Amino acid sequence: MAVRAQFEGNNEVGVFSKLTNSYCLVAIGGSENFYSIFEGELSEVVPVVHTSIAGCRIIGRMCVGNRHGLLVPNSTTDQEMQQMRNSLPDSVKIQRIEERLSALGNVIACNDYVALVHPDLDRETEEILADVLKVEVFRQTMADNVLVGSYCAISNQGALVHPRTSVEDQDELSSLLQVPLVAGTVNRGSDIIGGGMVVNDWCAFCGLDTTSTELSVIESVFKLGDSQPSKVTTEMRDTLIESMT
Amino acid sequence: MSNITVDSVVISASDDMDSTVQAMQRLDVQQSSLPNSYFSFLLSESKAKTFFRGLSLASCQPNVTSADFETELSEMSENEVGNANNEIKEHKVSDKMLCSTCNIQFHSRSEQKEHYKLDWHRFNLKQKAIGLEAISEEEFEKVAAGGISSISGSDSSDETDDDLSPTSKPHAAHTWLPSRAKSSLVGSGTSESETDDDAKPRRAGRRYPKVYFKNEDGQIISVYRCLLHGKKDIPVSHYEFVYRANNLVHQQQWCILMVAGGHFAGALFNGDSVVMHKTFHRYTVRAKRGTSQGARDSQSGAFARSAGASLRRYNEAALSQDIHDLLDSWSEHLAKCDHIFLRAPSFNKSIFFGGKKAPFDKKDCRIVTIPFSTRRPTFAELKRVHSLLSVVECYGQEEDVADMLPWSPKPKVKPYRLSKQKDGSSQKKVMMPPDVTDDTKVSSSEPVQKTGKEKVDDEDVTDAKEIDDDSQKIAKSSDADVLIDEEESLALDIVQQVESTLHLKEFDVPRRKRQKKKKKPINQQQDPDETDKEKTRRGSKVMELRNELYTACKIGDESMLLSLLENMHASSIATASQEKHVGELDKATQNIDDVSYTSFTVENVSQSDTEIIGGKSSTNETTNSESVMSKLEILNDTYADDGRTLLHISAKAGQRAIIRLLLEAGADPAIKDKNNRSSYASCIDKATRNEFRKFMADYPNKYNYSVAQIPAPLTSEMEEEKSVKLAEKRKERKKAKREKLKEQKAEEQRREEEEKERQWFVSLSDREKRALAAERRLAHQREASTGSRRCWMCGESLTDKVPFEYMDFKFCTMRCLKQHKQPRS
Repeated sequence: MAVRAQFEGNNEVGVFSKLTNSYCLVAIGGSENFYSIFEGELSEVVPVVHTSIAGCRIIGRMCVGNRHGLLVPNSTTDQEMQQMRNSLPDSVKIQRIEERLSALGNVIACNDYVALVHPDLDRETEEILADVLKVEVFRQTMADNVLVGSYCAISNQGALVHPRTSVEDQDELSSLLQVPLVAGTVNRGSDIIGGGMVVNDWCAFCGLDTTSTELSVIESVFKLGDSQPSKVTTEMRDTLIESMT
Repeated sequence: MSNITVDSVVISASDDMDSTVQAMQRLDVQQSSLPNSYFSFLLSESKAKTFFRGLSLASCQPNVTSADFETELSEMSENEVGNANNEIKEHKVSDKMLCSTCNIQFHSRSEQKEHYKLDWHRFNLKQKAIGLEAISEEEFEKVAAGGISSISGSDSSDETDDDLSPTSKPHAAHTWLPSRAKSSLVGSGTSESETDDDAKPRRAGRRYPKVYFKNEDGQIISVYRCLLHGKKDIPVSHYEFVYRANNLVHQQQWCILMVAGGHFAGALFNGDSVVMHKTFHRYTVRAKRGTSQGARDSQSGAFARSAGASLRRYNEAALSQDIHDLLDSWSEHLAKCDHIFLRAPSFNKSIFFGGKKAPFDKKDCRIVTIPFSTRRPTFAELKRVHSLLSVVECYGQEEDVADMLPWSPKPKVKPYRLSKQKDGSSQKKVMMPPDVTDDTKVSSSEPVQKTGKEKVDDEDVTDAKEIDDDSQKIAKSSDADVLIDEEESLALDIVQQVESTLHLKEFDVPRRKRQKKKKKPINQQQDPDETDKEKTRRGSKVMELRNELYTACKIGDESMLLSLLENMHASSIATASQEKHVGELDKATQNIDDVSYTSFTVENVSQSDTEIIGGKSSTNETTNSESVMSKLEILNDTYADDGRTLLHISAKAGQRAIIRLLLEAGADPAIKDKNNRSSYASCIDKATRNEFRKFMADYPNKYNYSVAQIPAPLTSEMEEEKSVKLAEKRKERKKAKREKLKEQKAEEQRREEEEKERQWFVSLSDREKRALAAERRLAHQREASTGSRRCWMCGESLTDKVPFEYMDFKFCTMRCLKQHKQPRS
């Protein structure tokens, strides 16, 4: 299911939320509309947590995570850490990392198995990524942009990348990620995919401006449509069972 | 003559030179057709040849690739977009395993994974990000090998980037050429074009880091100046330049040493090959803050004692020692070196030249500095420096060079040359104006009209400005005035200049004293010499007086101060009367009377002063007031650097009598020292402070007491009152103390008794204790039944008796008991 949402009039839902297969973080906003959209879609499956990171609402750009863990920048306060620890499942490891490039969401894109990272990322961060998120780390650029996290959205089912990514690069990325991959846009032509949408294995949220064409591309590449009813019993089973324990 | 001999030497030196020359000439022909062609050549033939091959490739490649590459890219991206749209429906995981950044294919997933962890991949990503070509693995190995020695514990990636980038620059086609250089030079036979400027090397020789030569083909070539001569042995004639340039080929033993920020790198080169090299690093530079510890220590007086500081200090010494040891071990080679290139910024120079066993002699003319900026001392950097230094650049034909690349050094040099070739007289003219404008700030149009004489005048004026003595300055300016009359407009400017500097001096605090003294000489400008003498005489006198006053105040010698004050009057009267003209006397009297009234509202009420003044100079009031003025000045003059007056000094010394005297004599307590403390504030104790307050009570209007920070006047009644109050308070306090003492005593006694009883009780045997307890109990019981402590029958008190009792009844005697029993029965 791909759902359109808006955070206080802003279409960049990927900036104000973080969605993974085992939890969802939502920024603390003035109204509960945004939160309730997520709550409505997800509440029965994964916890939806209100939080801020380092006092900011741009949590989606500050942190990176998958079903195994969550990495937050060093500027995250203890209270926020505590709040997340209390709200997230115990299986999710939370760790602060010291990284010069502190907007982790912009410099890292990951699913449950693979992470693409900014070429300048610390080696130490790379190791932590591998340990906590249990991913393989690849230094890569996205259509000559170093901010890989901003310009793509990855799930275990597929990936949507910057529209100017060359075919060779798409092939390379696809072989790295081991998922099908499409170059496309969200929010009526925005190339900032990571900022414009969040996605996990069964659900996606994108900005209110997203056209139906874009939405259909998203649904098809991330395999979200109702056309694949067998999903719950096949691919998603692991995730679901894990999250219920 | 010399050319011919050199020629022969060259030919004998290189065997395969001819072929090289031919090859190069071919190249010349090919490349001179290109607009910005220039060549450079190596110092060893075999290398030169290979290098030329490489060169032609390198110079061609950029043109081809840059254009073609871009078009390719744009086509590609268009295709992709189309493809992407079509692909939407398919969604397949690609099985092509390649890294487009590094341009390699993989055979297995693990291989692919491995690749993305490599530094090579990382490096190429960064290259790509800054728009540079990716490099092959082999190339990267080379870079890394060079870079690793350079890294030495610091971040590598940026450094290696820097190292690489030059290769991509267009004018990186540096080459070395010994034989060719020499042949071209020699061939020219008359290589003179360049050397006009070098003919006056003493003046301009060091201006440009390169020296340009022209060979017989009319081509301009350049070598680094430091190869030809150092700072000291600058060649005089252009023949010497040519000779030295020709000799370069035989000087292949080089040593390059670099020290900076705790890094040391040194290498010995023989021609193109490295004979020996060594780099090391010590932690000497303060982290984050920068600058080495030694520099810091010498800069600021504070000697940091932190662990880090001492660590760095140790490491500095160790680094220096390491370098000394290394150079010792290299001494054999160093002795053979033709050139020693040294880069040791500021502080590090002492490593090489300082100390008893300095590795190098400062006068050694082999030692030259590296004429361009270098990076962190590493082996790679040494090699880079070596390659840059050994380059002989060829700029092509002279005509071509004129309108060549904007960055070409040639045009930069030319205008300078032109100006220099003018004849001596005109040169002097050209040189002068800037000096004049700089010094006197005359408008720029004027110097053109100036004659030699004017220049001299100007210099006089500038001299006058620089000389400290004000009077001399004034004398000069008056000289200038005379000259000024001849050239009005210019002269006016000069006068303004002099005045303005005087004006500025007023803010110069230490000079204040002098200015005061000078007031008088300025007034009587008619005979400056006399005033000078007078001034010095008086100056010494005043100094003496000041010293005596100071001692009197410091040690509290009242009589001395009194006599000094008297003397001051006498002397000032004498001088004043000398100076004054009798005719002016009457007029001045009135004026100064007024002044004296206004300045003292309490006209010297103090007895001593009035006596002195009245007694000695009642007839001559002008001198009187005059003397008072100068006396006041002296009294209120400041001593030492912190601007303390006599009052401050005596207040600090606690000399109450002196303070009184000074205040009465006119020393102003409102004057503050440099720390903005009044003399009242600097009093040593309360009694001294009270002295000020008492004076305030006596003369409530004499000074501005609020400025002097004296809080309130203190009269004798107030003092008495206060002392009475104080006595009462003291009495009360005494009484309270006594009572407290009494209480304490009583308490003590009680405690003693208690203690005694305790001791006594402890000393009792158990039986006695029991008896005592029983007794107590008894007594207690007795007490408890106080109400019934009377005989039940007759009502007699039963205390101290053992009552007769039956049932609960108690009786004094048996008889009472019986009586009581009887009626019952």
